[in-house]
Amino acid sequence: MGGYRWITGLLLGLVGVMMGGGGVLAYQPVIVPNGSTLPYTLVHGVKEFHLTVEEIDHQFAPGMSIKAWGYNGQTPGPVIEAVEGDQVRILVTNKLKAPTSVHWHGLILPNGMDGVQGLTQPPIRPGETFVYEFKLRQHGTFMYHSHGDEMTQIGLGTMGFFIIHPKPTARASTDRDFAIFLNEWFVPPGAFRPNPNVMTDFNLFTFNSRVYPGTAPLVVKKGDRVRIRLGNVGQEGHPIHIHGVSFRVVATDGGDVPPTAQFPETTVVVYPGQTRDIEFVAGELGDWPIHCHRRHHPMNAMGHDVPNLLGVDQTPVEKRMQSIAPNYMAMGESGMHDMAEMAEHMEGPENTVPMMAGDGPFGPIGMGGMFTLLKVRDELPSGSSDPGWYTHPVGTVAHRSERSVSPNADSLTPDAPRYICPMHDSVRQTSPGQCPKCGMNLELSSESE
Amino acid sequence: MNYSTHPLDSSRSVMGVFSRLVMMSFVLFLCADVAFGRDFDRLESIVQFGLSHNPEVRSRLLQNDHQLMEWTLANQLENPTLVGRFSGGSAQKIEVGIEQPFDISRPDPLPLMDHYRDVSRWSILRVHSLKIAQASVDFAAASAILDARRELSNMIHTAADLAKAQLDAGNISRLDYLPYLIAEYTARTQIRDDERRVGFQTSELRTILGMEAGEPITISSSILTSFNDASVPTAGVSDLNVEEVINRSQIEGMIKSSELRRRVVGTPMAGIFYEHDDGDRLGLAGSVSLPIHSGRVSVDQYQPLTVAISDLAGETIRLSQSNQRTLLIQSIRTLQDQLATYRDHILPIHRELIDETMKHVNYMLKGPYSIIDAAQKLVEARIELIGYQHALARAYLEYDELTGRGVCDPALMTGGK
Ligand SMILES: [Cu+2]
Repeated sequence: MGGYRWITGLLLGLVGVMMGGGGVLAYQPVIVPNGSTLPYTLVHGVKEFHLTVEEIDHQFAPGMSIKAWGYNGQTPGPVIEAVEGDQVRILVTNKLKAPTSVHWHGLILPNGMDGVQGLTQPPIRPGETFVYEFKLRQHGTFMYHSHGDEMTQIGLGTMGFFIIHPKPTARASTDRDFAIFLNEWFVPPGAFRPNPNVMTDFNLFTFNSRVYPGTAPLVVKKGDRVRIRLGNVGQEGHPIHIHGVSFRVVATDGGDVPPTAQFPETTVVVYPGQTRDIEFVAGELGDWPIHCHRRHHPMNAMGHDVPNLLGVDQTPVEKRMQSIAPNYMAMGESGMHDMAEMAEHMEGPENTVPMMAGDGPFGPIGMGGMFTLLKVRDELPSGSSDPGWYTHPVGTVAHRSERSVSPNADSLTPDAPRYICPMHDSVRQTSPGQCPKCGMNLELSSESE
Repeated sequence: MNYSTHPLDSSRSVMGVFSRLVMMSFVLFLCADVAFGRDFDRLESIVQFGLSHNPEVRSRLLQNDHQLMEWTLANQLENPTLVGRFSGGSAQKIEVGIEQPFDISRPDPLPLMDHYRDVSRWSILRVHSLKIAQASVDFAAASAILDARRELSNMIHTAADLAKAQLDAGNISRLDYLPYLIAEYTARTQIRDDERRVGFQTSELRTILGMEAGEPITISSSILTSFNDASVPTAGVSDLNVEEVINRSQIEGMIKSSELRRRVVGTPMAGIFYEHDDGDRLGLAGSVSLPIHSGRVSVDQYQPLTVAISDLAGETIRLSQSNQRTLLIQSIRTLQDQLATYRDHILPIHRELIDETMKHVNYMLKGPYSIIDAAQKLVEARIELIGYQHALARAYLEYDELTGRGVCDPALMTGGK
């Protein structure tokens, strides 16, 4: 499913390339992991798009689907891709049972095209089709989303990217251009309809409305110049972190960031209502995580009121618990990793992805939610979106050592440096004396006692 | 227990049953000192055990016989009277005679006594059967509830132990822990209350079964559950309308007694006498009391009145019984519906709740306290179920009392069914 969408996105992107440029590659099409690009028709020089907003069955990951609201059968809606200077006409058909409108987030356009229900236009009532038409005066990464009953409509998935490519030569081109929409949801474990009333305690965090292990990887070639466009119309800011690269924020939905103002980053926070375009050169081969750095965001559904059992020896009560529920297994004494290891073997609530999931080449990965992989390879795979696990060169993987490291290991050695500066931990010697840095007397380490 | 047909069919006379009761009295007395078991799994066996071992029952039966003998003595035919007279002087005269009150129409009270004895014995046994049965189901319900409460208490202890482990590990504060500790001690006191209550009921039951203090009794919980699926009784012609039977027998007694009272109308006296004065002579004598005062009420007036009273009393009883019976049948039906709702829905849903909670615990979406909570709710529902089973058993027993079925069935009291 993920792979299929990814390819679809790629193909539709290529259609855009050909149609938009009249057979000439006018821009590098955007790749939408787990998503797609919206096709258009050219009508007397106007790019005409058609969005239908409706209730859809949407899969977060294998094993979990929800009733979402989206555009053209998807959440996020398909990416609208065009070029600066284009005249666009967008037809919006409402197949919801509620009125709606579409706001073109970040675009500078006539006020009456801004899509604010009641303020700049009448609501699009169920069954009606509205037309928006304007000229694209900017380039960059923008968004579209419902602008009526946003708690419900955006909360259930009515949002998407509006990507405007610069006129050729206006901006350095990239080899791979990805778009990832961030969002958060609350779906009670075992249920299938998101609760739009939840304001803070979300339990699922998505990249393009997918949770790991349902998220498609971003596959690039070593040396590729890679752009990742991030967008957010949710409730929370997401610090998106990428392993193995240093990137720069090259643009926001306000415009391009001048090269002199760009600074290196490994994490970029994308707040609600913002887009961030980041660029880097994929320099290191391997499978590199891309994830939100808020600790519970790269996780699937967690219990909000689960008792803290860390360090709690449940042995005395486990048997008694089993007399109540025979399959009870004490978990949590040493953290949540039991979950990552046991999830496959234990039955969970219906339609729920385990909190920690995914198997890697070395065992359970134990992630979820806003987590995917940047796969850097020497060659792009042909005919498949996922090249599989990275094959590490011999001797480049951390491995178990026979050397034992314990707090008392030093004291077992006759010449262990037991005298330590109370101010400078790095100053250690085998005999008493003064710290060369501050002159304080070295103290006998308690480690040696 | 099957209520669809009555063990007595309508063709069998009430008197026939009573004669079996008389037999039973002997059986009860004979087995009174036989060694007994104290593990009961059928209500009938407890009732039989109680009837034969409870000294009160035996004493009541003896008292009953005693009273009836006194009544018989009071009403038996008068003995002949020996009369003698001597007059002295010149003309000495001796008269010796035997006089016998003489009433041909007067009935013999002995068969009447038998009849009275049968009915009153049955009354006594019926009352005690019911008491024993009620005490047994009360005990069974209280024991089952105690067992369930112990399970609840264990769960509360488990939760408290878990909380203590969390406290010791530094994961919760004393503030968070104290409610668990309170719950643990409170559960302990509640169990002791429940034990005291069961102790009270055990002691009642021992008394009613004629057992010594401290003798262990085990009553299978199947005594309660046996009523769950018993067919709902329908008011049938074969039911013994108990009050009516007693009423009928009492009225029969009144009529018979009124016949005995013919003497108040005028008891003839007849005698033979021997007279000696100047010669020896045998002669006949007779007397009759004049119905001047008592004669104002004649048997002919008295008996129709008695019959009329009997009919009206019978009608009153019939009305009351028919309404009570309908009410009980409705209660039984409702209680069985309640039980079916618990058995088919509430309890399975509670079990599903535990399973679902377990799935959430497996995925660390819920913690062990949630399972304990769910399990406690199941036990609480089971306690409610026991309450309904108890109410159903009591309703059936009331119905038994009303109709002479089940534990009040005379056939049961004879020891065979
Ligand atoms: Cu996040």
